Amino acid sequence: MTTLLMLLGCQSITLSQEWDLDRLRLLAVRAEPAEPRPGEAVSFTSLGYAPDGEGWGAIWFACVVGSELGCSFDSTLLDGLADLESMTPEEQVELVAALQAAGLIGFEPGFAPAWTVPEGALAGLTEEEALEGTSATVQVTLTTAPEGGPGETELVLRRIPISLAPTPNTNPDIGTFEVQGDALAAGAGLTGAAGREYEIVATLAGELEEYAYVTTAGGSETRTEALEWRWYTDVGTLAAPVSVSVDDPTPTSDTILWTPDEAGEGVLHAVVLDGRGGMGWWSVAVTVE
Amino acid sequence: MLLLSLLTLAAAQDAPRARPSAPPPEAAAPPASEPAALAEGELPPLVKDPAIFEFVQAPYPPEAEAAGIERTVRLVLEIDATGAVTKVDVVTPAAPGSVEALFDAAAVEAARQFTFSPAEDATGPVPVAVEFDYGFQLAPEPVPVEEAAPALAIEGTLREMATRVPIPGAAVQVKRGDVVVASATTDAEGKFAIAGVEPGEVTLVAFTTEHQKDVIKLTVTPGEVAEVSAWLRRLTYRGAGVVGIYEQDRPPEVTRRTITMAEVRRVPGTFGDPVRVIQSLPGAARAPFLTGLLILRGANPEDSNVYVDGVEVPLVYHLGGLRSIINPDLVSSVDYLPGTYSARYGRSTGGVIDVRTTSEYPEQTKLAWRSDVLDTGLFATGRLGKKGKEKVGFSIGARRSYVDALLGIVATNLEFYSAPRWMDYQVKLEALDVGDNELSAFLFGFQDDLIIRTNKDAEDQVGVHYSTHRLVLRWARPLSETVKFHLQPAFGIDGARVGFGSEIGSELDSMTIDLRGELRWTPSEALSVAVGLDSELYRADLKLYIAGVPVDGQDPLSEEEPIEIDGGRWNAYPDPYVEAQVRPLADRDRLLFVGGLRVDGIIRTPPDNPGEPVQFAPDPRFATRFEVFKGGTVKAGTGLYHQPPQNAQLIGDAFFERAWGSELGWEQKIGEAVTADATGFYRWMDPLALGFGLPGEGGGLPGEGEGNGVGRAYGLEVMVRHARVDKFFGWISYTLSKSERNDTPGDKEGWYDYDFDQTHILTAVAGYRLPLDFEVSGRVQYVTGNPYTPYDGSGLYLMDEGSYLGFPGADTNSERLAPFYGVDLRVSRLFTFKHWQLELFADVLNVVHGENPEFQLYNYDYTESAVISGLPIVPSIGFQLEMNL
Repeated sequence: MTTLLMLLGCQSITLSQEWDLDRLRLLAVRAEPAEPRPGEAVSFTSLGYAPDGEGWGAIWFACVVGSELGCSFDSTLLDGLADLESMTPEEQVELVAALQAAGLIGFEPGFAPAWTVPEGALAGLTEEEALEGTSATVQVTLTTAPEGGPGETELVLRRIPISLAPTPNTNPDIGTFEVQGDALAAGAGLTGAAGREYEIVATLAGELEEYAYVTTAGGSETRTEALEWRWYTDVGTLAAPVSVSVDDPTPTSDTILWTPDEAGEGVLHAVVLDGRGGMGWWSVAVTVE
Repeated sequence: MLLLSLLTLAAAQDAPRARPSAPPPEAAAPPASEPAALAEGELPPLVKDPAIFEFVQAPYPPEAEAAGIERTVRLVLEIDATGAVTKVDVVTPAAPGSVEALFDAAAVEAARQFTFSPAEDATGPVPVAVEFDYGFQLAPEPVPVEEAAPALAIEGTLREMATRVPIPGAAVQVKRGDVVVASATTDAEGKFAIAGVEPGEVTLVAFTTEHQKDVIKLTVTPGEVAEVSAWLRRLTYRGAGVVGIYEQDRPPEVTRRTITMAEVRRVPGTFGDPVRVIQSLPGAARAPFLTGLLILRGANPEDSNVYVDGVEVPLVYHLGGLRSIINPDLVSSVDYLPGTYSARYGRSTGGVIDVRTTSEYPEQTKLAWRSDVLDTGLFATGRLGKKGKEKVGFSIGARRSYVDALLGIVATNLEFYSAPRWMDYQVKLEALDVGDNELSAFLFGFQDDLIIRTNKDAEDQVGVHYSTHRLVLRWARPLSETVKFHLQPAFGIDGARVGFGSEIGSELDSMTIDLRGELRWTPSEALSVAVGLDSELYRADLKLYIAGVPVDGQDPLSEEEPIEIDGGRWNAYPDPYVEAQVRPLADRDRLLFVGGLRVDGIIRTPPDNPGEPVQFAPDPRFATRFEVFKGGTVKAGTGLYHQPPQNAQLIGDAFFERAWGSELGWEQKIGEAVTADATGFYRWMDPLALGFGLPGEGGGLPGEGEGNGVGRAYGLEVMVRHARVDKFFGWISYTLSKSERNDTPGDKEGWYDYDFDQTHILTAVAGYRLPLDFEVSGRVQYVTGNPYTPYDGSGLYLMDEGSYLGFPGADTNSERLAPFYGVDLRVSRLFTFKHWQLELFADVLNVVHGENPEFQLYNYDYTESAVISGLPIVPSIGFQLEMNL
């Protein structure tokens, strides 16, 4: 009945959509390696978005929390960052040391996030449990600082698996990106006409990854990664912006981009997650003529 | 008052007899078909003349008979709007003491006892005055020669249109011109026979006070009998049938409210469903958007029970809340008990609704077909067996919705749609020829599916399915003049299935064996004592399959494993009760005390059924009503109510939820048609399950465990009702209430408004019958918006889940949605034919297009919000066809 009424045009709800990039967003964080071991160094890259090409900053924390939500630290330490430029070098070093002790792993621009997994990250786990491991949390606070006013803030949590798995997970990479059946070269943009629809297909580089899983009953089974795809754009409209292939794992995802009726420029992002902590993306600059 | 001349009439009489003479020449009433503009002070024209219904024979004055004197007495009769004669005057009185004066006295005395069908003008029945000639004529001298009895001239049968029921006691007159030359009265089978009518053309007129008269022209031929089949159309077909909507328990009659079936069917927005009328009565909160939830006096929806003929069923409405589960044609009454009900009901802390089915079966088999935009239904009722010696009464009904089918046609290209689909059936058989015994069997059930199609190539990937079937047997009989008993065993099965593709599936199958029985001893009009049992044996089997559940539920990267649960358990609820009704005053209806005690119990089957194996809780209840003065009654009630664990609570070691409810009210009759009722209530709920929490966990007495909340609800209910009198009915219902919850008992700051707390609920309903069997009705409703908890700021983005985590404000339900207001209209037209009736109707909901926010909806990161609105303007058209075979 509800749908019938909506069909009759009686119910229109206009809320912003998640695929529609119209505000400060952090869309993806990629850790390298995707599934580190204790003591291993991890570097991070991220895919962010700010409207109108606005600059943004980020503060990165990391911690091993198990099942808890987020890292806990003295938030007043962050207040000092606002006065960083007025501090003496000694004060800056002292503040950064205190923040690092609280879990700070980087701030941008200026201090690229990097983290060394604590040696005791898997303490307390049995040998078998350590094969499956635990999770660390990377907590990112994104901010914009426009002149003359308060900026936007986005708080993001990202899990990083830590284990002693003999074949640790790797990040997925998108190998091909096709527009209307034609593959785009890496770094190439998409130029299209206004008011048109374009079929976009992204395909994983390589095969779907298989891995061994030790069940809670002690058994072992081979599983295939089920990919989740997320599409974002700030120019036009997207169909099927999220797809998950659980029952029938597939290495591809497709969407349709309807370009706006007016000329403009923007971006189109495809983000892929393997459900085990791995993440990759492909970004395309879009020009609508 | 109009002065009319009256057509003369007569009755078959023995000699000597009084016989009206020819009519006076003048006619004062203007033709109804030519209404003229009225001058100031001028009375409107009549659309219907008064017709005599009961003629009373005056005795022939013996002195006059001996003297061979005849006389016609001209009278002026004043007839009121009911058809009764209120005054009789003789136009030209005879001299006092004369023989002629004896005629005057006899005529006046007889005319005072006449009854008429009332005269009507455009506004309805009106009082009138008429002239009437009462004639006294001596019978002719008997002819000594052989004379045959008057030959039978006309015979026939009189039946009511549409129902085809024979009409007994109807007046049948044979007129030649304006003179009544013969008359008769129909017998119990509606038959009549008239003899002694001279050959020639005559007019036959048949009428009663409840029917329009039928006029048939026919020719009487010597040596032949004219066969006549006459049909009378009832003045109104819409006053028949009464559905009781009681605000309180019926047998103790503490508080009673009755809405007639004629009203129920005409309340807009109910789609003719008597159960849905409850939503227009005090104490019932407005159910959100197509949910059909029962929210009675601030109780949780799951804490109110629904019964059909005393047997509990899981749902009262089909999915979508637009239809109740019983065909309206089968419903005789609805017991609506929002609180402080008697000991005969239990296992609930909220209210009770008991839908009662009819035990009346017409002599003619009746078929009904009803269709509208939602569903179509067929219904048949009648008697089986030889005419006059029927053994069994039966009622059979079935309905099926087609919203899903319609959507399947119009939504072929949609990636997603959902639609409810329901069907129900009822078969009731009752023995008619078993003396004092009452024996009946009632089988009914329904099946509901929520069809959710997730893409055009795969149907039913997601679905919800409910099914319920019940077989109810009933045996009742008096054991002696003071003792009656009834026994009602019932067997039922329920199924609930929820599936999301191959990922998630759950099946809950349950079986109930109910036994209701009562022994009632009534040694005098002042005392009645009942001992009864309301027991249930309940078996539940649960199968649950979830393809992937994170091993660590808090970690989105945790590997997933399937979960399978397959188990069942028995619970028994014995629940005996005793109840006494005392009427101590000589005027038995003036003062009533009702005291009862019910013992709610749970008996579990170890070892797979956790918790105490046996647990009992006593529920004392008390109610009284006292008529302080004529038409003014005070009423009060209080009681304790326990509810065993239900649904998800069955999984754990749960005990009773408990509520204490009280009410105090006043009923006032205002004239013949208007009643007013004001009732204050208070309900304390302790312990109360928190969501799917388990009250009383940890054992011990109810309320001592952890994980409990408490609740309270209080308010005032007012109803002013104008009963259906002639053409109008209506009521105004107002509820002022507050319902609160506290999840941290003992913390005075922990109280918050309940999710369905509606401070003001104002409903006005009215219906009016127009000429030509048109009827219009309307409903206006204003309801305070439901509370909700707003989210603070933007959410936290959980990148691995791909969703934002919102942060509800610290104050639960601190904001409210905008008020609901709605205006619904209904127009219907009834067509009546000899064998059938057709009613066409149109319901228009929300004609003023109130936006009526139902839910608060947030965007993905909780930075924007919007409201989901309720029904827009929704027209619903349909028809009901009834045939009597």
